[in-house]
Amino acid sequence: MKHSRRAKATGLALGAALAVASVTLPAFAALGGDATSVDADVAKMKGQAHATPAVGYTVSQITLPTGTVVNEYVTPGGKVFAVTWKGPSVPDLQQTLGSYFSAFQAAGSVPHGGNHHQLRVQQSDFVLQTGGHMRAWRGAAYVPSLLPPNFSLDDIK
Amino acid sequence: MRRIFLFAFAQLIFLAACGGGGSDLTGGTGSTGTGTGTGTGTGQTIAPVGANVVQMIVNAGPSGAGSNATFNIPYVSVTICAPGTTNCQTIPYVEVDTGSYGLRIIASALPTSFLPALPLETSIVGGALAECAQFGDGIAWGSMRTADMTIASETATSLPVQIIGDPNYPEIPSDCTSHGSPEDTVALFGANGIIGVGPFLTDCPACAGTTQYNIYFSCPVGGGACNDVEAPVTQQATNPVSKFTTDNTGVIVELPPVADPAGAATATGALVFGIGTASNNALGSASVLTTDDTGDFTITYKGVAYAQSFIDSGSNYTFFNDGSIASCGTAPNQYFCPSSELSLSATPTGLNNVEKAVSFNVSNIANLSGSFSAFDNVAAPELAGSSQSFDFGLPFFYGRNVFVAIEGASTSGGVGPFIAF
Repeated sequence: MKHSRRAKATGLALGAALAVASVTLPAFAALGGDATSVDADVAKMKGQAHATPAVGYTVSQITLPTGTVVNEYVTPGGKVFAVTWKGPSVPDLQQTLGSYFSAFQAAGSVPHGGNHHQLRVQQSDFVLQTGGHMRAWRGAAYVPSLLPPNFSLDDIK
Repeated sequence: MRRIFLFAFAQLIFLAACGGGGSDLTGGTGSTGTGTGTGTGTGQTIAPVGANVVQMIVNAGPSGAGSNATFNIPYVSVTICAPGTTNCQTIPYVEVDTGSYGLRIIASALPTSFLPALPLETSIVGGALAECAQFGDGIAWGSMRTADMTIASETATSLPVQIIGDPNYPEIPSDCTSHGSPEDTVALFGANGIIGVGPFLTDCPACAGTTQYNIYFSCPVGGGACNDVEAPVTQQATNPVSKFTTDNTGVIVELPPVADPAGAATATGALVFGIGTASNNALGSASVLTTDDTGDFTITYKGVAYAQSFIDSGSNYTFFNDGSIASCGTAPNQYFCPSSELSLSATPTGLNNVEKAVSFNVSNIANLSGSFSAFDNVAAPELAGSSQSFDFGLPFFYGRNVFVAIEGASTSGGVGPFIAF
C-alpha cells in the first residue's frame, strides 16, 4: 500500500518537491536541528553534499572523505527528522545526532552484553539502531514527533 | 543485561505439555525441508584441543552471573608476553569476533606491573600511537603496544595489541569521543578483551594514508593531548592468525549444537587455526562463499536479497527485518518474541554465486532460562526500512563448523576472503 501510494504520487508531486527543496537548501544540520542553521555537518565532517527531493521531504546526502555516506532527512519546514549512515567509518555522531547523541552515549555506557556490533536506543522521541562490523558500519536514527505526515519508516534507507 | 524470568520453566512445561504449539521442542536436526546445509548436530566434528586448537566456551562471561552476565559470546584464553621474553600473562575471557580485526585487551585485566613491559608503538610523527577503535556500540580507546601472543601452540611475534583504557593515556581526544561512548572496563565490554579474526588482515588499511577516519592518534609519551595521525598497516591492530608462522590461512569456529528451544548454560567448542594446513582443518565438503572487500555478501530472506549481510560470531543475536514477527523488550534489549517458536530459512550467497540455504529457529528469549548463556534461536529486529543487512550472529554457529579465510590466503577452496560452512 505504501508503495502504490508512493508510485502514484511521484510524478504528480515532483514539481512541488523540487520547490520544497529549493526552499530548504542548504539543509544540513544535526538530528532534530534546524536546516536553516546551516551546513554545520558538512563543514565539521569535511563532506561533500547534494540534496535529493522526495515526496514531502528532502534527503541531503553527505559523502565523507572516508567514503561513509550520511543521509539527513529534512521536513519541508526545515527540520532534520532522520539520519542514516553507512560506510567504512562511523561518522561524527555528536555532530550527526546533535542533542540526541547523549542518549546514544548513555546506552553505550552501561553493560550491554558484549555485542559490539549493534546498539539500539528506543525512547518515546528518539529511536536509533546501529549495526555492522569493522569496515562496514551503519546506523539509522529518527525523531518520531518530527516525521512528516504519511512518512513511512521504510523510506529511511 | 540478563532477563531473569521466574515463569520461564512454567512456560516451557506448558509448551511441552501442549506439544509445543507447533514449535520444534525436540532440538536436533533442522526442522524444515528447506535447509540444505548441515543440520544441527549432523556430521559435525569438533576438534580436540591441540597444537592449532584452543578451547572456546560460551558462558556467562567474566562478570559471571548477574546483571552483567553475557550470553552468546564465545571466549578463549590468550597469552601475551613482553616481546622476546618469558614475561607473560594469560588472559581468560577474550571474546572471539569474526567481525573485527586485531587483539585488544582491557587494561584492568592485566597486572599494572605488566603493562610497562609491553613496548609502545611509536607513531610516524613521533609520540605514542593510540587507537580509537570504532564499534557499533561505542569506541575503544587506548595505546597501541607490541606483544608476542600465544594461543594453543601458535605464536604471533611482535603483534600490535591495543590496550583499552590504558591508564597512561586517559585523555580521549574529542575526535574519538564524538563517535561514541568509551567501553574501557570489563563489565562494559563484556570481556577481558577481544580477538578479531575476521577475513581481513588489519582494521583500517586506509588509515595508512588518511587521518579522516579518526581511528589512529599520536600522543605525547606519558600522557597529554593526542592528535589524529596516519598509521602504517604494520602498526595497526592486526588479525593475529595472519602473523602465525603456520596455520595462518584463517580459522574455524566450532560450536556444538545446543538444545532448542531451551538453550544451554554453556557451550564448549573449539577455535581451530589454519584452513587446509593440518589434518584437523580441511575444508571438506564445506561450501565456500566469497565476500566483498568489507566481509559482506548477500543473504536472502523471505524473497528479499539483503546485499550487506554477514555472518558474525560477535553478534549475540541474529538481526534481521521481519515486520510480521512480534518484537518485545526495551532497548538495547529489543528482541523478537513470537508466541511459539518459528522455523525459518535464509540463504547466504557469496560473491562467487555459491549459495547455501540455512534453517534456523526463532523463539521468545523471555521464555528461555535467564541462567542460560547459549541459544541458537534468539533474534532481534533491525530498524524498519533502514537496513539492507541480515546479520547471522552466534545462533548461526551452533552445530556447524564455520571457516573464515583471510584475504590473500590460498586454500583448497580458493583464495580468501571467504566464509565456508
